[in-house]
Amino acid sequence: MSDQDEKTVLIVDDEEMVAESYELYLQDDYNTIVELSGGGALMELDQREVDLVLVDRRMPGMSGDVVIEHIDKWEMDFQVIMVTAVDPDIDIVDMPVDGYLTKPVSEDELVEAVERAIAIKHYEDLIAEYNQLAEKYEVLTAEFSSRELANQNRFADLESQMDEMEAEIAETVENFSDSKLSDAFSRLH
Amino acid sequence: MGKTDLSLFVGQAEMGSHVDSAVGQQTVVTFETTAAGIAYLDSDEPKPGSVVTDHDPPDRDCFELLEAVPTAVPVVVAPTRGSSELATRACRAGAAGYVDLAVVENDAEVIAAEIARARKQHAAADERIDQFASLVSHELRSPIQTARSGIDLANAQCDSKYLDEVGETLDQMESLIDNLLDRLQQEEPRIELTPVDLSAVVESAWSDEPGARLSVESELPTIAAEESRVRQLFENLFRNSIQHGPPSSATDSEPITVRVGVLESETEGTIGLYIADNGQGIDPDHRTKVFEYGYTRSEHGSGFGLAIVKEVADAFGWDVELTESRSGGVRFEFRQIYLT
Repeated sequence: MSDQDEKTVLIVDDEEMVAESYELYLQDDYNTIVELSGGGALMELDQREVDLVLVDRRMPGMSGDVVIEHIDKWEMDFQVIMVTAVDPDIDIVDMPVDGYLTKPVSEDELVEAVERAIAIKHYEDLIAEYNQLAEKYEVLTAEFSSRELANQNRFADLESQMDEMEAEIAETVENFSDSKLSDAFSRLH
Repeated sequence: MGKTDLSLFVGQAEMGSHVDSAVGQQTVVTFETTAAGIAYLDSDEPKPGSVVTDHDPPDRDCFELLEAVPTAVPVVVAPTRGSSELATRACRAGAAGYVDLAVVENDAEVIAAEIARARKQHAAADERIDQFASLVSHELRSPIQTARSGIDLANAQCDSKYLDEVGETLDQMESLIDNLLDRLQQEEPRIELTPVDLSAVVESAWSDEPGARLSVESELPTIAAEESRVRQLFENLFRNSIQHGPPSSATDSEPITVRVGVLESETEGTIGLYIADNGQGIDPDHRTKVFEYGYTRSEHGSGFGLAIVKEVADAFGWDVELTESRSGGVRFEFRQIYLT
């Protein structure tokens, strides 16, 4: 992904060594911030923009569950991955997270999960942007005849922008490394 | 887990009918013989949440039934002619409850109450196991993550072969925890078959110990298995050979040699493997016991190694046989190993 190096990942884990290792795995491709408590993480989120949060579940003081509840309540627009030694149970269905990794995680597992979540966010942003263009296209084609629109450079720009975005969306879906995810998107399209 | 509102009753049809009336909202399916009851359990019919059985061999044998019923389903033994000896044997064989119908009034009501009690007790035990599994999972996996993180951070600062070895030990611990949790939750090990290059796995499973030598005597194929479990199997077998060393009669300079090779198979698409050593061997009387959990021949052994070997082999459907090698050591033979 071309702008991957601009993405910021907030790492939240009360075990300093664990948090630092995640930072080590990710620091070549992402900006990283480390917080060792749930409260510290929320203060950080209040002040800085992040693209993804990696959060431990069981932490002294504010637990990961409470952190993600706040993130959900504040309607913050980024991906959240829970990284925990707690085995997943059926309750994760209601949990506002985009990924769930069970410790111990390897470097490859963590990096892959982060890449996938960032790619999904990118896909969601593209779809939202494309829908805006498609909405305008629909309004204009309902209002004017195709001959009238053919002479409008701005309309030609809109069409070309939509073509480019369709190609980018298709490319994003194809690039999902996870074949299950790729298959799921193919079924949706 | 069984269907909780259904009970299987093995005994006289009239008593089955009375129990059916006594259990209220639940349903009782009745069979007159143990064989018919077992046939029902093996069929695609809904599985019961509890089983009640008379004991009047040969038609009704509670022990045969106790063996056939999954451990997750409580069994109440309710003989028409009981004895204290039968009660003891039934409880030892895993019965969750015992009712001697010769000494109680309102037989059906007593059986219905015993079914309710056994189910409640079983559910509480399941809950305790779940809680313990959750605790084990978190309390053991968290330190492994911390240790693994420490290794990765240290590796970024310096280069040491010892860090890799500690990492491999952590892999083994993680694998043992997974096995322990599978056993606690009585789940079959989850197997995902992928192509596994046996040659590479054998090489990686062997650790260069002083006084130990690996000899691969044939070209090893690629098989359909799960790499981590196959590696674990070889690591345990190699560790077993090295731990028990050469026979006491051998000279100090004689190394323990572990030989690995392919056995021809009569079944198309499969192969066999042997792993043999020149160690102390295992007495024929103990050859089945070594696969039991907790059995060890060594003061420092855990009694897990070969039990896990057997469990891995069973999970893949491999036949395993323990014999004597040509030099008097142990020889493990695995068959029915599927090629890719």
